[in-house]
Amino acid sequence: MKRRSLLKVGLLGSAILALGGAGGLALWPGDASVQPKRTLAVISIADFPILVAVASRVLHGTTANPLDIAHRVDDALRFATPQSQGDLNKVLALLENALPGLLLRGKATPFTLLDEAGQDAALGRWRDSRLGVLRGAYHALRKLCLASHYAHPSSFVEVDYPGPTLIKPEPPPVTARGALAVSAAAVVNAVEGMPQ
Amino acid sequence: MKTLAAGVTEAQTLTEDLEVGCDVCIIGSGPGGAVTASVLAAAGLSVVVVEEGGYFTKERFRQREDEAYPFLYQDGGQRTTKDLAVTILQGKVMGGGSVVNWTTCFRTPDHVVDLWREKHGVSGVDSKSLAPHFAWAEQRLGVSKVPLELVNKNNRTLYDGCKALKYDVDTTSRNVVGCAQTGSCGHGCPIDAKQSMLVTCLPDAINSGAAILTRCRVDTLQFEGSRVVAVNTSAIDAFGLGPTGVKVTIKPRTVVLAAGAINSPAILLRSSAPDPKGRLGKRTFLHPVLLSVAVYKERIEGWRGAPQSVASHHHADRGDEVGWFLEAGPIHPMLASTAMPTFGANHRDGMAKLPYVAGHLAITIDGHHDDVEGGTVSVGAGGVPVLDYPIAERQWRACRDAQKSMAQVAFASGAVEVMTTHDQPLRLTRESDLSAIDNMPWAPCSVGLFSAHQMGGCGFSDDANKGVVRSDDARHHQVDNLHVVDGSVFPTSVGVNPQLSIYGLAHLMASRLRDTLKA
Repeated sequence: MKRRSLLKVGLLGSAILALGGAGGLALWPGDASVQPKRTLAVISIADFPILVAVASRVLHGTTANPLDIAHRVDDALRFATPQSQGDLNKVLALLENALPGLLLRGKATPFTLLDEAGQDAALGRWRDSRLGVLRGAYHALRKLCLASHYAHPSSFVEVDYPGPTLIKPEPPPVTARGALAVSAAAVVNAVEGMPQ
Repeated sequence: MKTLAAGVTEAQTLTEDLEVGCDVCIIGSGPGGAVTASVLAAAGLSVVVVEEGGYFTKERFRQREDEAYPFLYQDGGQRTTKDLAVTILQGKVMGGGSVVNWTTCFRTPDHVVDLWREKHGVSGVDSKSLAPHFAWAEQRLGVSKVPLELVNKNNRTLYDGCKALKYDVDTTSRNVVGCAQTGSCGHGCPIDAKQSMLVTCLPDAINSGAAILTRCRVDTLQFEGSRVVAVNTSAIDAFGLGPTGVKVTIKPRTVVLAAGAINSPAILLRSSAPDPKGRLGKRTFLHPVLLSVAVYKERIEGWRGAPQSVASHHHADRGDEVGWFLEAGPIHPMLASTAMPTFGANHRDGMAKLPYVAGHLAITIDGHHDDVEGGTVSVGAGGVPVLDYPIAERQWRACRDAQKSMAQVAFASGAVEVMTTHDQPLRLTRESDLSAIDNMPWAPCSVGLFSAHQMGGCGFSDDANKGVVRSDDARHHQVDNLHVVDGSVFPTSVGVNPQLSIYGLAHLMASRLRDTLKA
């Protein structure tokens, strides 16, 4: 691809991603009936049903519960950079948003209201897009959902994977400040006049 | 000024700000930082190692992908290039990448060191000066060659296929002692068989009086004139997510930056370190890896045994074309699921074949050709590193050729099906169909690529126009008391798994620095 074409694609990609974040441009609302089971860390409540819908298609035919997958994706995103977290919310909004849907899919129906074949086709269009930004978005959603299922021991039987060979006790849960709070005085040598 | 007590302090537990002094502050506890800490502490210098990752021991290494990736890898295993085209597996834990790597050890090839001298102005190191330091690392880390009978089936398919095609191939050397073949090197060794920095050089350093501060993120280096006068850090919570509010200020005589490729240049960039020639962050290399999914009639069970024990460098030197080397990768469900293309029922059907799958890897060698200059690190919002890594046309040609080569290897070792990792994968059932690979899309985010080897970004060179640090002592060209000792100083990729290259170079540089500081 010529550099000028690449530049155009890049600019268009950025514009489309920005459009995803513009929720007010939606022609009509999607399915908001799916509610999270607990407080979300990264994904907005409005975007959560979209993630559930994506998980149901990406993991179609497995034992995965899309609601659980969406929560695990939200958990995993805590470890991502703030930039990635923001981009993921934009990507979900873009997938759902009817106006870019009209431009990109030729269909002004929110993703969550499409039937299964329609949702698969929408994901397929991103996968096959000439825009690298949409292919990247497709992979981000796909990988997050897949990793959240196949990292979990409940999936092991599906792939005939025996799991860990060594059984170790469950470690204590990680807490933000650790098991102990330590004062500075406890970890320093009370020696003055050291290297200047 | 106070000093930090020897041993490990987990900064997330601190309840008040801290200011400490030391002879040497080492930023990063991976291969570069840990080796340097052990050498300098043994010489009687007071050493503080600052590590952003957490302190975990074998009790927490439970062979679980859902526990390993969030806590042991950068961005919880989600680090990528800016365009999302390359997934970057990079450690973030006390011991760094050595805790999660797949234990493969190669000395830096002579021709690579020669290339550094001829094209990148590196006169301070050569194969002869490095040799005793590689020998030291091999002895300290128990590096030994894998006997063929211990090669698992996953690697054995690669070995047999290469032999059948008369490719150069051999078993590798690994830094393990008493390996139980759990296959979980990438999740932290559950029995401490892997001789990572966590169980070797860091304990050595602590025994010599070094202090290690984990869950401590370097915000900036503070400069006065041509010297670093303080390392400003923030304690971060035990999840590695955000600051606790506690600040730790370290005032050292000398700073050794060893945060690895991507993070070392990022720390210098967000500190506004001198960079008069604009070299900082440039020439960052990834050894981009292409995967071939080979399906066999018999069970392979690629999760068992040493993840990597065979390598072929038959195609490493292709003259004007980019070369690659072949190795195998472990097959665990999560990692495999993200590498396996498509979604829905097609993906599920692919995953159902997992016990019969071998994963062959072509690791492409970047930075050895003029138009393959690697990527550029910058810092985004909040000082977070961003790697822009454009893939040159010459690299895509190598990917295409390597995909064919891997398919040939698979068929030569009895595979019944070979699949590419394109979004809509090509499935081959006979070798005569290989030409179809030419027609596949070779573009970012159209085919799966990942990186397990990050190098460059603070390249060394005697020429300040070409490099960030000097090649004889890894000292920053413009900052008198700042040295960079990690994989970021490599002016090209090393063309082999890089851990031993970093151990050897770090031991050489640390020995020289010790002599300077003790003089």
